[in-house]
Amino acid sequence: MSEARRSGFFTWLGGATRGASLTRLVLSLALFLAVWQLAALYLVDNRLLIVPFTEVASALVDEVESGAFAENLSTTLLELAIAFPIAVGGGFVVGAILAGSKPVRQTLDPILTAMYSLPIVALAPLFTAGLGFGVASKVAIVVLMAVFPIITNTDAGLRSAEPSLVETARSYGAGRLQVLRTVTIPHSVPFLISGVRVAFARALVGVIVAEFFGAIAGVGFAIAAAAQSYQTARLLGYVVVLGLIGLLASIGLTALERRLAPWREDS
Amino acid sequence: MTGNESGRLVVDGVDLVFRPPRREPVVALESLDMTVEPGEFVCVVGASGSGKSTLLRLLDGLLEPTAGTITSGGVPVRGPSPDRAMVFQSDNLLPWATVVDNVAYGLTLKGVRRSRAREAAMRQLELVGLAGNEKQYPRQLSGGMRQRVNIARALAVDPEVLLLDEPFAALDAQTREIMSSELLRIWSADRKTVVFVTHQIDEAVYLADRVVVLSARPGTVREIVPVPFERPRALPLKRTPQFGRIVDHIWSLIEDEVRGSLGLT
Repeated sequence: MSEARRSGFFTWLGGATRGASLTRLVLSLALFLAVWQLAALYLVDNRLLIVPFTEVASALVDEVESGAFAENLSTTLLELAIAFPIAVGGGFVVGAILAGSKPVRQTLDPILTAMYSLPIVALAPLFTAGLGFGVASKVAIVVLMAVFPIITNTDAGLRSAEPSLVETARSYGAGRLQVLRTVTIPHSVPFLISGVRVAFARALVGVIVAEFFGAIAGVGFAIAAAAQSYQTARLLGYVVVLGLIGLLASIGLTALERRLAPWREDS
Repeated sequence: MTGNESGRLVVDGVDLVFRPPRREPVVALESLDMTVEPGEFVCVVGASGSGKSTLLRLLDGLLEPTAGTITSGGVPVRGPSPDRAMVFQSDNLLPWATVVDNVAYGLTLKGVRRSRAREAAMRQLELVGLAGNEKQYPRQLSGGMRQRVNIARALAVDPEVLLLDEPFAALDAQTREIMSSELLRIWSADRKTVVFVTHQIDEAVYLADRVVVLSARPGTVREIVPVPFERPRALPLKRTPQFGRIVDHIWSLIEDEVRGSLGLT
C-alpha cells in the first residue's frame, strides 16, 4: 500500500463530509465490538461479568421476538417523552426568571446549587413508594434530574451577552425587547443546547435508576430483572440499547445546534 | 429640523461626572464646548483619560451629560437616534448574523422590511468593497474586513452624523493606512458630518478638517487645530514638511500629559 493513499484516506476521514462522519461512526463501533468480543473470549473468564457480543446479540433477538423488548423500550421512551419536555420547558422559564431578576437569583441560588449537586436518584425509592410502580414516579425523577442543568445554562446564557454588543444595539436605537431578541437570546442558544445535552444524560440515568426501584416495565426494570436471574447477555443487551439512545440523542442535538447556531461551525 | 442645521453638532458647556458606587466621583469631561459644522470631518485626539470615547458616547446619546447641552441638527440629544450612527472600536458585529444581516441590522431595528434592508445593505457592502462576502459570518473575515462591515452598518442607516471611536486601533499599521484612505473615499461620496476619535495624531491630521485636542483629567478642549490641506488627499501628503509641523504641534500639546500618565516628568 502506498503511503500517499493512506494519508489521503486519513485526510478524508478527518473531513467534514457526511460520508466521513458516518465512516468514523461505523469504525468506532466496529472497534468497540471487536475489543468486547476479544475481551470476552480470551481475557475475562467470568461469565457473570461479560459474555461475547454475539451472545448478547442473540439474547436481544430473543427479547425482541418475545415482545418484551418493545414493551420495555416503549415504556422508558414514553417516560422520557413526558418528563424531558417538562424539564426543558420548566428549566427555560425558571432560568429566564433568574436571569431577569437579581434578587430572585441571589435568594434561590443556594437551594438550586444544593439541588443540582444532590444525587437525586437517592430519592427514587421515595418516589416509587409515594407515586407507585407506574410512569408517574419515573417522570418525577427525570424532571428533577434534568431540570437543573437547563436552569443553570439558561440563566448563564441569558446573562453573558457581551455588554459591547448590547451597547451597539442600543446605539442603533434598540429598545429592551429588541436587545433581548437580537442580542441576548441568539447569544444564549449554544448555552441552551449544551444545557439540554447535559440534561438528557442525567435524564437517562434518572429513568433507569427509577425503574430499578420498582416498575411494571421499562429498560431499567428489564436490567434489574436480568441481573436477579444472572442473565448477563440479556442485561448487556439492554445496556447496549441505552448506549444507542444516548448516541442518537447526541447526534440529534449536534444537528439541532448546526441548525440553530450555524455561525459556530468551522468554515 | 431646519435644513441648514441638519448634521450640525453643538456641544455647550458639557460636564460629565461618573459616580461609581462607594468610590470618589470621576470628572471625565468639564465645561466642554465644540461645534461641528454639517459635512465637516473633525478628529478628536488626546492622551488616554481625556474622555475621547466618553465624548463620542455623549454625542451618540448613549450617555447623558451631567451638565450642559448637546444638540444634533438643532434638536437636543436624548438617547440614540437614527440621525447619528456609531462605529465602535472593536467591530461589535453580531457573530450569529451574516455579513449582510449585520449591515442591515440598524435598518431592521427601525422596522424596515428584511428584504428592503438587505438591498440597502448590499449597496453599502459594494461601497466598502465587500460585495461577494455577504453570506459569510464575521468570524470568517479578517479584522480589516470586519471593520469595513462595521462602517457599512453605520452608513446603511443613512445618518446625518457618523461617529467613529478609534475604528482602526486594532488593525496593523499598513491596514490602518489603507483603511483611512478608504474612509476618505467613502466619506467624499456624500460628505456626512464625521467625528472621529483616535490616538494616532498623523491619522487625525490626514483625515480631518479640524483636529480637536483634548486635555486630560478632566477632559476639556485644549485647542482646535485647523488642517488646511486640499481634498482629495493622498497618503504621500503625510511625508510633507507642513504635515509634519501640524503633527508636531499637536504632539507638543499633549506630550506632557502622555508623560504624566506614564509617571514620567
